[in-house]
Amino acid sequence: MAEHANHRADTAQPVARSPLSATPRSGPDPHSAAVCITERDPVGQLVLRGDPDESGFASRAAGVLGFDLPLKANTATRDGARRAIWMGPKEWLIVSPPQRTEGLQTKLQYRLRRHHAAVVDVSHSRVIFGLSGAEARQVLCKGCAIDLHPRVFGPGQCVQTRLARCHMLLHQLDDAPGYDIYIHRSFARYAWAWLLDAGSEYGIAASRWV
Amino acid sequence: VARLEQIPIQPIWLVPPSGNKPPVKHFVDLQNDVTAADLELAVREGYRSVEHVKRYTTAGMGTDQGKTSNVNALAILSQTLGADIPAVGTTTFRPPYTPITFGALAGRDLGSLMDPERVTPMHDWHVERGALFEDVSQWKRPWYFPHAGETMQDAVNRECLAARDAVVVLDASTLGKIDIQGPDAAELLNRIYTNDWLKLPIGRCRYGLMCGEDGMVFDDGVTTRLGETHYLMSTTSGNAARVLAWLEEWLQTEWPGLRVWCNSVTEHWVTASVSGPMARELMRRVCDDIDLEPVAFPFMSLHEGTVAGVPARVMRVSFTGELSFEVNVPAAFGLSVWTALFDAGKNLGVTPIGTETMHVLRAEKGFIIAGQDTDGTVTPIDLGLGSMVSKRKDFIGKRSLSRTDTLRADRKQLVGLLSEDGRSRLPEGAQVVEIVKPRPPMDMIGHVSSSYYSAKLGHPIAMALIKGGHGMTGRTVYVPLQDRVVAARVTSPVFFDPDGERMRG
Repeated sequence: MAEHANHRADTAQPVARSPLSATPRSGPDPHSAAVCITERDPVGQLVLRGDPDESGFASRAAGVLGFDLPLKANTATRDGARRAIWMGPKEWLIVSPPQRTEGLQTKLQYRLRRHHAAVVDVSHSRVIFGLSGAEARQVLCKGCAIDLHPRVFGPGQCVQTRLARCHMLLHQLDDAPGYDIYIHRSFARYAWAWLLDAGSEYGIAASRWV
Repeated sequence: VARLEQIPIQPIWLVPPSGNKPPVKHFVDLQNDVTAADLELAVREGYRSVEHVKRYTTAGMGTDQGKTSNVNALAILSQTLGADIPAVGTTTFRPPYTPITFGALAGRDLGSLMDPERVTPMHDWHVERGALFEDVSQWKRPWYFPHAGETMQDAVNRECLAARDAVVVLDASTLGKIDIQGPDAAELLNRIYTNDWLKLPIGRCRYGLMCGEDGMVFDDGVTTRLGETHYLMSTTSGNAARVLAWLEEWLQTEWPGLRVWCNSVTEHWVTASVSGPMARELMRRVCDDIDLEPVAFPFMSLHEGTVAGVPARVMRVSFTGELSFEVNVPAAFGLSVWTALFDAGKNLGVTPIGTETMHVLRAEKGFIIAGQDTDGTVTPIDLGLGSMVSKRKDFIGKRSLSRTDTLRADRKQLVGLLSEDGRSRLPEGAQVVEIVKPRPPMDMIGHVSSSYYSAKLGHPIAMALIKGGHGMTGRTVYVPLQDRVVAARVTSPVFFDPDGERMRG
């Protein structure tokens, strides 16, 4: 047993890591940059599937979230750190603080137990990049075919589309313009590199979650 | 001095052929070899509009869009029609009107930005460890981990022996994972897979084969029952998105009444596959809340617990044929758990393995790789997996398995091949014949689908798809190569541990 104990793995706190590579990058001062890209701290992400036409489904979900599910296509609702993002007619992405995710999942599953619904933890499947600044829209337009002009796309709107050669969920937060860009974890390095390249002509300041 | 008569300048669109020469072709559009005769034929055939003549003759359809030819072509057409050139008109040019460079089209999608490189959370560890990488779809997967001075064969031999004699870890994170839940989840599996799913107990795993409507195998994988109405489906790395799209297509267009949700969780979980005779010992060192002994944790079952401090799903699923524990943890903790496995297993000689070794190990066991031993023309019966084709229930592709063509006895069937000399390695893709002739053509009866040197067995092994192969065990066939012919004996494709004692232990 003693020999066994010598080789036990150190079960001290396991370390959660960002998918971006360790290479640090220097860039312009955020105050002078026309675009800022920020790797957001990890959040909880739950896929909620269910039929809004089922009587009681939407109201029960809202009861747990504290705010309404967005029922209009390509819109998002939010309250503080929680968001509900429309992904499809019967699909939402619920974003919440990471330490609350498991509890939120359990509550939603319980409240929706009589509905044909599913709540799946996908917290680790996407990273979120915040993109903001005067030229943020220009940067996105280089790789995104969606019309992002303010007259048709503004705060509270979201869309699943392509960013260059990968999938993204785009959510506009404010008029700066500021966006949250959700990228699948395995594509994170590619998307980060692409955004830095696209932003370089304007001056892009980057900050990483470590 | 005679005055020269002046006449207006006239265009000559067509130089008449000289009478005493053989007929010549008047090429008008040099890009598409369109002649004046072709234009005249179009008119005789009844075409009048310039757009119709263009399409009938292909005049003006080259990359220059007629910039070097249309003036002549349209004038000849007008002349032939007896109409004014302006009345005949011009064709629509396709963009770009002004030639542009490929560079302008490529933009910034150059070098590392040309195509995404998908990497797992353990990628930097693999790089540091000296791995060479293989492209699997857009993923970079470790191919093998050579030590200093090793050739690829040296490295693969060492990794294979480590798997059969000690313990290895494979990064299996790239495989597709689909969360399937709802009252009709089992019914969905039953309709998608060829085998039966309604009686799989909770906490158990089963291997499934998926066919297209044509009865041909298109994906395979192990699916686990997590709960009463909750399953986790596994797919091949390259087909993850395709299988999810397949499930959604059937649910949305053919079976809208089925109450089941499918969600991709491929990126949420990473997988470290711990494999080898010492796998259980290594797992004991990183996991103390799961009973790892065979009675409590049988082959093809699941337990949830904690591995290296991280909540984990552990499945006893084996692709190597060795005792294996597939450790699944949330992706952000992947590198932590991976490193913990290698720290804990140091005195066990724990070795990272790549896809090449994985390919060899599974071939020693006769396990197929969809897309390598299948190519869209191979049925489950061809693979020798007829026992997986349910007689009881309907499933996608079942009807196609009763066509005369899919019932033929001489279909290409999966077999093993062992070269008679015990040394020659058959090239993958090599054609197989029964009768050797001095030179081609020879009657081909099949091809080699997988071929490797087996360090454990000490000789090369191969899998092949051969006409009527299942009835040819023991027969000698021939693989003609450029410089020689290799004789090989048809065998079972299971070369090692046929009863599966190691993986079931």
